[in-house]
Amino acid sequence: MKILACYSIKGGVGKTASSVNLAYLAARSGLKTLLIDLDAQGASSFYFRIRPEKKNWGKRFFKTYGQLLRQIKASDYDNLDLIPAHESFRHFDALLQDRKKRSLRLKRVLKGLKKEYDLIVLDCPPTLSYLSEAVFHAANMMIVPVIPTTLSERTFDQLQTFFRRKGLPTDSVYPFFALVQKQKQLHKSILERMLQAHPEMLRSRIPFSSDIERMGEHRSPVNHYAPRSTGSLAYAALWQEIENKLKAG
Amino acid sequence: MTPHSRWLIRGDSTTEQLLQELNGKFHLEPMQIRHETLTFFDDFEWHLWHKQQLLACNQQGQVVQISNHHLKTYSGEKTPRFAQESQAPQLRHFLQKQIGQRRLFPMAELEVEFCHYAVRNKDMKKVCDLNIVLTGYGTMAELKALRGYGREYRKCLQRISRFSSNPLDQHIFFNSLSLLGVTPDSYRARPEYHLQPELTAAQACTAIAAKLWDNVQRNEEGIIKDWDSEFLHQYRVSLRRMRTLFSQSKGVFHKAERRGLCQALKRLSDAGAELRDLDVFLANRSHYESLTPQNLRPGLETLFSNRHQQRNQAQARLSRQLKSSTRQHEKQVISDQLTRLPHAEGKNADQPAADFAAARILRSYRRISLNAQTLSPDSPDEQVHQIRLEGKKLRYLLEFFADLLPEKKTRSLLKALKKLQNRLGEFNDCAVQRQHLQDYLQQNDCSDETEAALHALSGILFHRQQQHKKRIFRLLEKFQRHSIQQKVAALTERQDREI
Repeated sequence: MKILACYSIKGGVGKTASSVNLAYLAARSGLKTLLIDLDAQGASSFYFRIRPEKKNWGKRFFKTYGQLLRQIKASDYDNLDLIPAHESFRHFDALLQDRKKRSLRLKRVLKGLKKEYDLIVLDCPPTLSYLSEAVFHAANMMIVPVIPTTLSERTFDQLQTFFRRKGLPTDSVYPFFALVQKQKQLHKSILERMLQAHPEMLRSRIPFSSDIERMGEHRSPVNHYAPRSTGSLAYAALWQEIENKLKAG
Repeated sequence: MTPHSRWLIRGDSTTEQLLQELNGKFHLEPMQIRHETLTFFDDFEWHLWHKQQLLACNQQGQVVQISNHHLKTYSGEKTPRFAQESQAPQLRHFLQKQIGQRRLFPMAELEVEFCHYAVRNKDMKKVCDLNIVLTGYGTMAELKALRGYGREYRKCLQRISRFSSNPLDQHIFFNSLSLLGVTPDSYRARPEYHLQPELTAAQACTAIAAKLWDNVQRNEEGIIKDWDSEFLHQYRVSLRRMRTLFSQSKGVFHKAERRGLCQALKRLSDAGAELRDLDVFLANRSHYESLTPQNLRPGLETLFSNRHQQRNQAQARLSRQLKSSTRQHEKQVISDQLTRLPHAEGKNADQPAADFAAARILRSYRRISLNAQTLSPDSPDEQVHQIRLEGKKLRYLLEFFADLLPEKKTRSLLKALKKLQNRLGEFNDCAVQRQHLQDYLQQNDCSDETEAALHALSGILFHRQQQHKKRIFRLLEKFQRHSIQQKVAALTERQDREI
C-alpha cells in the first residue's frame, strides 16, 4: 500500500481537484483506492456527493484503524472509496497536541488499511500544523500543486525550508504546476525559473480550465464527465508520472 | 462484505410497481438495459457449478462471472477456453483457482433481459445497485448496498419485500439452467464408490473396478481430441488405481485373472507416459525459467520449442493408437473381463470388504515402514521412488474403502500421507526432469548457449532434489511414529495388532 498526499500551505491551488481526479484515475487503473478528505471544508466529499456521519467522530480518528473502517463510504466508481471530512476535523491540531509521538499517529493508523487498499490519497488542508507534520511522515510521496505566481512559489520555498529545518526527507516531495495560463507572461517566466530551480518538478501541467471548474456543478471527477478535455488529459498524464514514481519508489 | 439480497418477482406488472415504489423514495437511474443470449461455460468436471459459480459470455465479447455475492462483467474477452487466455488479471486468477489447466466448454444458452439501475439518494449519490434480471424462470430483483450505505439498503429492502416474499438463495441463472435440465455430469476424478458394509471383498473390488474403468473410458475422447492435458492425466491415474486394486486384491480374484488385467492396464497406461511427461515439463515452463539464471534463460528456448514439437507428435501418435482397432479390441477384452468379475474367485473373495481393506492397509503401511528403515542418505533414487509407489498404494486403498472406514481417522491419515507423498513427488519430478535434460543433451547437437542453460538447470534441480531428500527423511520418521501407527490401528480397528 502506498500513501500519496496532495498538500500545499497555500489555499486555492487545486489540491482538492487534483486529489479527486488522481484518486479516480488510480481506481480506474485497477488500484483499490481510498481517498481521505482531511480538510474540514469537505470539498472532496462534496465532489463525490458523499456526506459524513452526523456523529462527531473526529476525536477518534487517530485511535485505531477500526474507527476509520467504520467511516468508509463507497463512491459511485469501482475500486474507489472515501472517508468524508467532518466538521470536527478542524480540531485535529488540538487533538494531536496532547498526543505522544503525534507525528507518527497518522502513519500508524493508516497502516491498518494496507490489507484493503493499494493506494491511499490524502487531500490535506492548507495549513502548516501538527496534522501536516503527521502527513509528511505518513506519505510515501507528496505532491504539491504550485500556481506559477510569486506567492505560490514563495509558499513552496517555505515548505522546503520547513522540511530542511525539521530534517524531513525532501526527495519524496514533488511539485507540479496547476492552474497554468500559458497566455500570461508572468506564468511563463515563473514556469521557466522554477523548472530550472527544481529539477524534481513533475513534467505534467494542469491548465486553468473551465472543464475542471465545472467539477462543482457535475459533482464528479473531470476525467469522468469530460474525459477528452485538456484538463482530463493533463490529469491522466500527471497520474501516469505519479504512478511510475510510486512503482519505482 | 456489503449487504446483498435476491428476490423472485412474480409478473411484469409487479416489477413495474416495485420500480415505481422505489422511485417514490429514491431516484432510480437506468444504467444498462440489454437483451442478450448468454452462453454458459464449465469444464469437464463442472468445477464452477460445484462451487456455486457460473461463467457466461455474450456476443459482444463480454464475459460475466456470477457467484453468490456478485456479478462481474469483463469486456474485451474472447470466448472463454483456458484460464491463462483471459485478458483481465482478476478473471484469469479466478479461473486458474477454480479450473486450473482444464478447458471450458459451452454447456447451455439462456435468453436474458438485464436491467441495471443505480439507486440514488437526494444528493444523487448512488447508494445501492438494483439489478432486474428476466429469464424463462421468472424475474429476479437483486439489491446490493454500497459500502457505508446500510441504512439506505434496509429502506430499499423494506419496499422490495412488499412485492415479494420469495428470497432467492442463489442467482436466478442457476434456477433457469436447472429448469432447462442442465445438471452436472456424474463424472468425478476421484469416484465415489458408495460401498455398503455388507459387501464381500470380491463384490467391493468389482464395484470399484467398474467405476474406475468408466473413468478411463470417459477420458479417452478428451485425449484423442487433445482438449486439455488433464484428460490424459486422469486417464492414467484411473488406470494406475485399477492396477493397484488388482495387485492388492490377492486372494480375492484368481491369480491369472489379476495378472492378466494388470498387464493389459499397464500397456494402456504406458502408451501415454511420454506425452504425460512432456505435458508436465511444458506446464512448468515458467518455473524452470525462474530456476535458471537470467542470462542463461534464452538457451532454454530451443529446448522448449523442441519439447513442444515432440509433445504434438506424441499426442498424434497416442491419438492414432487409441482409435486403432487393436486398441479397441484390447479395451473390449478388458471390459468383458471386468463384466465377468469375479468369475474365478480366490480364498478371500467372501471375506467382509471392511476386514479385507483393514488387512491390506496394515500390510501396505508395514511395507512403507520397512522400506523407510532401509533407506539411507546414500540410497539410490529408485529406492526413494519405491517408497513413493508404496505410498500411492496405501493412499488408493484408503480412498477405495473410505466408505467402510471411520471418516475422521481416514482423513487424518490421508493428510499425513499427502505431506509425505507431495515431497516424494517433488523429489521424483526433479529426478525425472534431470534425466530428460541429460537425454536431450546426449541426443541433440546443442548450441553452447543451450548446453550452458541445461547444465545450470540440471544443477539446480539436483540441488533441489537433495533438499527434498533431507525433508523426506524427516517426514518418513514422522510417518513411522507411534501416533501414526495408532491412527492406522484405530482406522482398521485392530488395536491389538502389532504394527
